[in-house]
This record gives sequence, structure tokens and C-alpha cells, in this order.
Amino acid sequence: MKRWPLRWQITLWSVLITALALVTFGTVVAYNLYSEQVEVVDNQLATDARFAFDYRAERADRGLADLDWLAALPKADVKLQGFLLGKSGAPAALKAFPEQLRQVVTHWPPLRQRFTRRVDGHRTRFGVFADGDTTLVLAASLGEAEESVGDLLGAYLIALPAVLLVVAGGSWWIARRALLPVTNITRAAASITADRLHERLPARETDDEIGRHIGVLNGMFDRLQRSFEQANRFTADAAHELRTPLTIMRGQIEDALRSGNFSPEQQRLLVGLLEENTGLQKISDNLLLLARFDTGRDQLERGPVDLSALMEEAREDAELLAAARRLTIGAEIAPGLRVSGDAVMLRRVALNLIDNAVKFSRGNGELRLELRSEGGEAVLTVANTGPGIAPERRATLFERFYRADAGRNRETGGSGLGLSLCREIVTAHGGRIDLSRSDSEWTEFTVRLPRLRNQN
Amino acid sequence: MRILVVEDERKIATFIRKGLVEVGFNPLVCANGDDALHLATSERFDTVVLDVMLPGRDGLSVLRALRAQRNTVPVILLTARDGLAERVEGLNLGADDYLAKPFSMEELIARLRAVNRRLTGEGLSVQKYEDLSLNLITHEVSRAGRRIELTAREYALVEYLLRSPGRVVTRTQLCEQVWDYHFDPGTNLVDVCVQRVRRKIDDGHAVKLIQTVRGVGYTLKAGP
Repeated sequence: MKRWPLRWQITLWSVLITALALVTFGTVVAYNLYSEQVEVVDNQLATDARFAFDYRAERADRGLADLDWLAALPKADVKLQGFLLGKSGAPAALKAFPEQLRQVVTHWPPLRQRFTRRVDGHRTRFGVFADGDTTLVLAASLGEAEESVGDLLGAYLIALPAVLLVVAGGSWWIARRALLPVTNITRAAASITADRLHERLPARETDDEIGRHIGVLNGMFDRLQRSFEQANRFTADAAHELRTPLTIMRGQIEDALRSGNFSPEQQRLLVGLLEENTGLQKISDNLLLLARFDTGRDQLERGPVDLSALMEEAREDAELLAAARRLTIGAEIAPGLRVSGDAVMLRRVALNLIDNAVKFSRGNGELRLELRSEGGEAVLTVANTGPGIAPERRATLFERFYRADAGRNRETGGSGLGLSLCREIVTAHGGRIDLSRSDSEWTEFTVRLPRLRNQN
Repeated sequence: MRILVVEDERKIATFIRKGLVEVGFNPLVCANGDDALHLATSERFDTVVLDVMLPGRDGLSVLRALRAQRNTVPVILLTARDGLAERVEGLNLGADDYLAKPFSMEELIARLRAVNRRLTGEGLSVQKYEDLSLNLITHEVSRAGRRIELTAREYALVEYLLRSPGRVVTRTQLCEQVWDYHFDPGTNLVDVCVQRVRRKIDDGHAVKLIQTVRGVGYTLKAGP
């Protein structure tokens, strides 16, 4: 039920609660009705008994036989079904009419003043009355009480579904109405992305829950915008602060290298330092670039890019790179494919993928480049015969500072930003990058970019 | 060539001055914007190398003031930020070129030469060293009058070496300038590419032009 929309949950709960309330109400009413009816019967029994004993006293005064008076019990009372009569201390001399009533009484005289038993499947009420040493038990049918309770419950049963249907409809409507502002807020808030952080939710006049909710959310957006701007300023400042010492280091190392006053070993050391310096610079540049992509602002210098020409160039680099590892290059580059975008950034994506493919290819393997047109898309694949990327690592492949092989050292390394940067660049171009195949034989990355139609 | 270098960071200013002196330029270093504006308006310079972040008047405002006075001295901006917006702003204000920190001296020298070539119209399209010549417009490269067919990368490599003949260029610099600044394929790529270029340019010639400086990089220099 957790997955259901809130208004369905509210509807369901309303129906359940209403049903529970109606059932409780019905039970209480039916019980009361029944108790009342039983009380009426009890009173009737008491009246009958008084009448019987009076009649008996009258007859005794006239010296008539003790039992005859029973015949005179008022037959007019339709509820009265029979009786038991006997001396209080002598169960053996008990008289019963009709005979089956005798089984009902297990103890003479009965311990309780009023009780209910089933006789021939019918609820029967018994009243116990004593006069001197004589005990009289009168029995009356409860059929009428049973019937009226049954009628009542029947009526409830018919009404219940109808009532529940009305409640369901009503609460669905109320929930929808109540949640409508929330739905609107959700839609409005979703449109406030990183690049539109200055926007706010439309405020409401009323100071109800929704109005306060909007206030709180707008406050949160304020803080978010502030910290976002701070973070942006920070990255820009940090980049600046880093660049000055990096420039100094680089200038001085290059200067020292040119002076030629060092032994070959010292020179190698200096070159090593220079490479580390450049590596550091690249990391800080890439971080800055990623931070800028995060703000959602367009970082691209857009223009028509001849992707085919760009890939031909990349093929040359692939050949240079592959030569050292004795890889064969297979390339199938469709001519004249153009996209709209930033050539420098797109070249970076292609070179990054090629570089990875070379690094992770099996020795003497194959590196394959393809560029083709598929519908409105330019589809670029870079593949290598390679060990494949473990399934559990594929999900995090495009994350920052992630390396497919955790044990990889810096020799093959790179900064761990390459693929995440590729994804940001491709996404900013309105495209997609995927690991389209990865098994023990073949690893293949696919980039899809919206194609520019040729003008002629 | 007389160059005004406006850079407040003393160490950067020092190696810029040293590098410029080495290639025969005549640099004057100044450390703040107000002095720079004063110097640039009162004396004649061939080019101003101007840091954007300066104490006092910043680089962009110096540039703005210079252009407002109709001073057309070529200006190359140095900046620690390479954002698109800043770059566009600098160029709109009338900068002739733009160099992001950190940069290598070879790059700055090449930009200085390019800016001045553009202005004087001298050797605009053809660059030469010994009997090697390269046409920047047609991308034709020839040695001793014979055409040499080069791929795009090989051409870029020769062009970069030709910018500062005689100076040692490290593999890192080649990597950045010939390929993509942010792309790090390792220096192996550079070596392979240089060997191919060397085969095309130097094979069959007694004088070799592309020299390996062991452990450091390469240089364009006539030698055995």
C-alpha cells in the first residue's frame, strides 16, 4: 500500500474507518434492541406469575386441589409456552408442561432468576418465581425479539455497501482537492533546478498548512541558492589560488630544464615534477569544469561540428596509441556526419574513450572505432577486445573518481574523472553515453548525439 | 622587441622576464595596474603582457583605459580563470590574445610572435627554419623544396616545434599543445608521433632537424 498514491490511501482508510464505525454502531443498537425486548418478556413473565399465584391463593381458600389452577393460566398471552412447577425442596415431584421443558432444568429450583435457553431450536426465556414453598418457572418465546434484531441487521447489511460507496467517492474527492496544492507545489519545485535556483514557488495568501509549507520550501531554496553560489565562488577562487603556485612551479621547472645545468638523472627528476604539475593542473581544471556543469549553466561553445572529421583525427591518435601495444585498429567512420556542439569537448570524449580502450585492451587485441548514422542520431562506438567490466561495477562506472579496476595504479590511472566528464559533456550535448557491451571478449562504449541535418 | 610585463606575482614575473630575455626580447616588469597604465601610455612597447588579477587597478580596467585612450598596443591577457565569459569579456575589451595560467614560456613566446606577426604582416603565412618551411594557410610542409605529406597531428607537431626553433620543448608541452590540453595519453604518444615526423623530415638528409634532448623532450635545431 506504500506505493499507492496518497489520495487512494486516504480513500481506503476512510472506507475502512467508516465500515468499522458502522459495524460497531449496528452491533450496539442490535444488542440494545434485543435487551429491551427481553426485558419486556421478563416483565410479562412476572405479571403472569403474579396472576398465577393470586389465582392459586384464591382457589386454595376455596379448598380446591393444588394443581388445578395451572389450567387457568391465561392462554391469551401468546408468548407463554409452558411452565414447570414443584415444591422448592422436591425435584422428583416436579410437574412440567409441555414435557420437554423438564430437560431444560438441571437444578431445582433453578439457581438464576432469569435465564435463556434453546428449546427445539428456539430461544426461550425462563423466569423463576417462588411463593411460599412452591416454585413456578414460566417459559416464553423470544422469537419476536430475534426477528426484530434480524430485521435490523438485514437493513444494515443492505445499507452498508451503499454508504461505503458514498464515503469512498467523497473522501477521494476531498483528498484530491486537499492534495491539489501539494501536486502543484511538486510540479513547481521540480522545475526549480540548479540553473534556475533564483525562482521561487508562487506564494499563497492563506496562512494554512500549504501556505506555511510553501514558505518553508522557499526558505530552503534561499539557503540552497546561497550555498550553491558560495560553492561556485569557492571553486572559482580555489582554481585561481591553485593556478598561481602551479604557474610558478611550472615556469621554474621549465626554466631549470632549459638551462641544461643538470645531470641526466636530475633532468629526469625535473621532467617527472613537470608531469606531476601538469597532472595536478588537469585535475583542478576537470573539477572546475564538473563544478560548472553542476550549476547547470551551459559551458559549451556551440557550433556545427564535423564529427566525421573529428573521428578521423581521433583515429590517427588511436593508431599512435595502439602502435606501442601492438593493437590492430578497425575503423568504420561514416563521412559527413555533423552535430551541434563544442568540438574541443567532443574531442575530449572521443580521446578519453580511445585512451581507455587502449589501456584496457588485451595485448595484440583489436580496437574498433565506428561512427554511423541511426535515425536522427550520430552513433559513435569505441570498443576493444578486453577483459570486460565486472557487472557490479558497471553501475558506478560513470561516477567521479571511480576506476573500474580498484587496484589500478596511477601508471594507467588518470584522475578517475574521465568517464564522468564524458558523461557530463555528452549529456550537455543532449546525448547519451552507455557501456553497450562488456564481457570477457569485448568492451564497447556507445555515444549517441542528436545529428545535424545536412543543409543541402 | 620591447615587452611590458604586468604581473604582481614576483616569481611568475621573474621567469617570464628570464624566458623573454633568453629569446632576445626586451622585457620591463611592473607589478601593479596603476604603474602599468602609466608606463603603457608614456612609453612605447611592442606588446603588453597583462595579468588580469592585479593589486589596485585590475588588468581588465587597465586594458579598458588603454583602449579608451585609443592606444592600440597589442595586449595578451594572462588569467587564472579560463571561463568562457571572462575570455569573451577580455577579447571584447580589445585584448589581442588570451593565455590561461598555468602556461609554458614557449606558448607565451609563440603568442607574442604571432601577435606581432599579425600586426606587421611579416611572414604571415610561411614559417621557416633552415630548409624546412611550413605554410600556415595551406598546411603545406616542405624540406629543401620537396613536399612532405603529414597527417593532421604530425602537421600540428611540426607547427608547434617551428614556433620556437632552438628551444627545448617538453613532452608535456607537446601533449598539451598538439593534442588536447586536458587529455593525458602519456608521453608515449608524443614519442611515437615524433618518430614518425622525424622519419618523414630527416630521413635522407645529412642535417637532422629534430633533436632529442634526453630525458627532457625535443627541439628543432640543425645538427648531425
